[in-house]
Amino acid sequence: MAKKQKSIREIFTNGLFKQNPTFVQFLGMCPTLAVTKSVESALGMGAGVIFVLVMSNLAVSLVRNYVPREVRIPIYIVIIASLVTILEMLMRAFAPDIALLLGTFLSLIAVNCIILGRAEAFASKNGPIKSMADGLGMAIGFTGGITLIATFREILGAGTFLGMQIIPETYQISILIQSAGAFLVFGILVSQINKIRMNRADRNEVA
Amino acid sequence: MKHVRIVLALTLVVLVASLAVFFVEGVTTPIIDDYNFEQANAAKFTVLPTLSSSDDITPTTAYDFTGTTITELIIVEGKGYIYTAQFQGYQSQITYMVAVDLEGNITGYKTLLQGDTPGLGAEIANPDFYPQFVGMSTDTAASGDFDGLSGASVTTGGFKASLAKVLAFHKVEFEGAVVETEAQKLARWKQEITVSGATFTDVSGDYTLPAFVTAMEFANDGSSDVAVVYQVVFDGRNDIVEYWISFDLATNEVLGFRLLAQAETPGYGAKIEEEARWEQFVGLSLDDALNSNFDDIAGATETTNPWKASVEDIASFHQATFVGFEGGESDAAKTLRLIGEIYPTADTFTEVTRNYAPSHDVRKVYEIYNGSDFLGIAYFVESIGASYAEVTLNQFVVGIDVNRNFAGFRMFSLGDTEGITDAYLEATFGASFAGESIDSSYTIDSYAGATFTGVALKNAIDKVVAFHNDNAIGRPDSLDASEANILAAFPGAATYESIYLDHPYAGGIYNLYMVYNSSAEAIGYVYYSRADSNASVGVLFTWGVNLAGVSQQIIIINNAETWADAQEYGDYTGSVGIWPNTTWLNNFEGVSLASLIATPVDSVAGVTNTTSGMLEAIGVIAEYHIDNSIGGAE
Repeated sequence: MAKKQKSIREIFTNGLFKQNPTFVQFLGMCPTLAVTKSVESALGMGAGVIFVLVMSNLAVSLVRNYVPREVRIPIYIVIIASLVTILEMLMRAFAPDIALLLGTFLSLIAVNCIILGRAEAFASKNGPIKSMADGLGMAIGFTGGITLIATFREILGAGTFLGMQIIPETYQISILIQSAGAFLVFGILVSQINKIRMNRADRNEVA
Repeated sequence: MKHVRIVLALTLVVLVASLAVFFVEGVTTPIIDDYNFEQANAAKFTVLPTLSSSDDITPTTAYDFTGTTITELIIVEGKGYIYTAQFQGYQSQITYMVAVDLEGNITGYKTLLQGDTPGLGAEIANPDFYPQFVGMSTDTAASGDFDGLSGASVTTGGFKASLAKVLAFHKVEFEGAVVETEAQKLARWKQEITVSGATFTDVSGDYTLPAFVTAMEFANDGSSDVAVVYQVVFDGRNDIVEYWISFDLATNEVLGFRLLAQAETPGYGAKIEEEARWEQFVGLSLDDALNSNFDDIAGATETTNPWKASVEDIASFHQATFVGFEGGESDAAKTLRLIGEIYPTADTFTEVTRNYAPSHDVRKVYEIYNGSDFLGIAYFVESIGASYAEVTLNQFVVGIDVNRNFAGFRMFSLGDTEGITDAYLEATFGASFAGESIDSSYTIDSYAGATFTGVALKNAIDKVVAFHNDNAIGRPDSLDASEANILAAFPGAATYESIYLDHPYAGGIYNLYMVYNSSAEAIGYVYYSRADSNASVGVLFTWGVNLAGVSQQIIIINNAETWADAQEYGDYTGSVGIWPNTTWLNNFEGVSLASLIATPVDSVAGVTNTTSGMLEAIGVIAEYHIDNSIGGAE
């Protein structure tokens, strides 16, 4: 039974919703919890991941036919690590404030499961255009996920949005700024998203 | 074959990746380095915006910063100079950074470290304080002509002094400013307070100079003598103070003032050295100089008073020498002359100011002595006159001698209608009641057509008599404590005698007795005094002090206090007795007067009127006892 070829659009939206790395695949949890204190750092992290994931998917896809199976993972890692190093240098040069905010998590993009995961699961089997679409979709999905968490944490926890004060100090829920707060927000969001997804699945079955 | 492919693939990928990283690194490294450099030297970039990361910012060690408050200097080649300096603020050492460009303008200022009072001295680190310096010339900044910190005069003063030193160093080292020698400075000053380009001739020998004038010079503008410069000395608080003052020989205005030497207390009398203070002399009229109408040095009366007296003296000398004496005499000199007429045998007039109840009329009180003999008191009085047309002011001097008789009266100035009231100005008016006792129903002459003025003057004199009595200024022998109260204040005393007239008078101290034991040996002293207190009559008390300066008993003579308040409202725990039997008074028994001064007793909450008044009166006695070495006390 020949599997139906997916369109570029489907591949792109796949990462956004259906296979959202944050809320569905639960990939890249470390930065999800660490850099979601503020929307600014979440967006900065997201931008980094978009760059690395798109470029690594492209590179992996380009070399996929020439790489011996035995050493494909080391080669993917070399590619990803180089890309992350380049990203880090670029950010420190052109966006030093965000680089400072992200700190060590910037370098840790190298070990973010999404990157290697997509290289292995998608880019190594598909052409460059599709791979880039997949990378972009997944990365934007990841960015959207952590930005959503960061939005709740920053507004309710610190009373600010992108640094602008919107809730007075008296009404802030400061635990949301702590690490535990990240788990709380994350858990609540996952439960709500699951609820929506389940309902949709039910409707599909009925239809 | 397969192995070769693996190795080849790996090598290729690593090579390509390395190349990419290497390329990006080449592009970004300089940018990152710049950023890091700027972060680490942010303050230097703030104060010298033209600084770049390629500049050498190694502090120079080529200069000696002694006496400049500079702690570090960075010379940025072709751009400017970054100084770090430190000074003592009100509460903390304050470190700041200031940079000067090659044209001698300040490019920026920043406070690096401070620990001063929030809201006051700490405002020196408020970024709003910084921008005023940008573009300011070093001359302006060195002169202190910029906004200080309101309410923080000590910190501002320290900062201005430090900045002036830093910039003076800068001018000398880098702007080729020539350091003026002392002689050059004096020569410049002399020109500044006369005319530019003047030549000077010392004429000290041509005039009979009073002791306070050490030199006198004419300034010649090339055609004639236009000004005179006096070099004057006076006794300041700590040591002699010497200055120049110049007068225009045509208008007799003061042309300028320059301080030559002083050793007054820093922060107080030493402020006489502030150039801003000298400015007020420029154009000061002779009349204002005669009456020393210029600003006091706040908090430094012991420097201000002799300074003002000195300016009055030199103005008076100038007037006598160049204007002629008619019509000219300072108010203070006139007052003293009139007092001298009232007390012809007097040689010392001492103005006393302590402890007098306020009086609208009595403006000045002088104690009059001939040698060590106390002759009496002279009052300078201002009273409202009796003119129908307007409110007038009459001023006069009246003396009351030690025997409570009028010593004399002289009109100082009469504001009432000229021509009609002139008779009151004559010495004969004062003679009409001189010698009468102030306790008698004395009368004063009154002149036809000006009787209301006479009534007004009589009222004013009555008020002076009342003031005299209220304040016991006459030091009359009649102000005696009873024998019982005197002896009770010094256990073991058998006899006593008043020795107050052997010592200077002090307000608040009514009498001073030497007490003797039964073998007629002197054993100590008893003070009879009055403390201001809650009740209007005050607290009268006697207090013994032995020959070693250790207090004996304190005896409260009257009791109109409401001490029970201390138990009702305060935290007073001496509940065993209320005034005048309170244990609080034990604080003043059996202790040395010196220790009472060094560690004052606390007043008692709820009865502060009584206790503070007592503490003040006790303090007056303790200081008096020590200041006058009563009985050889230390």
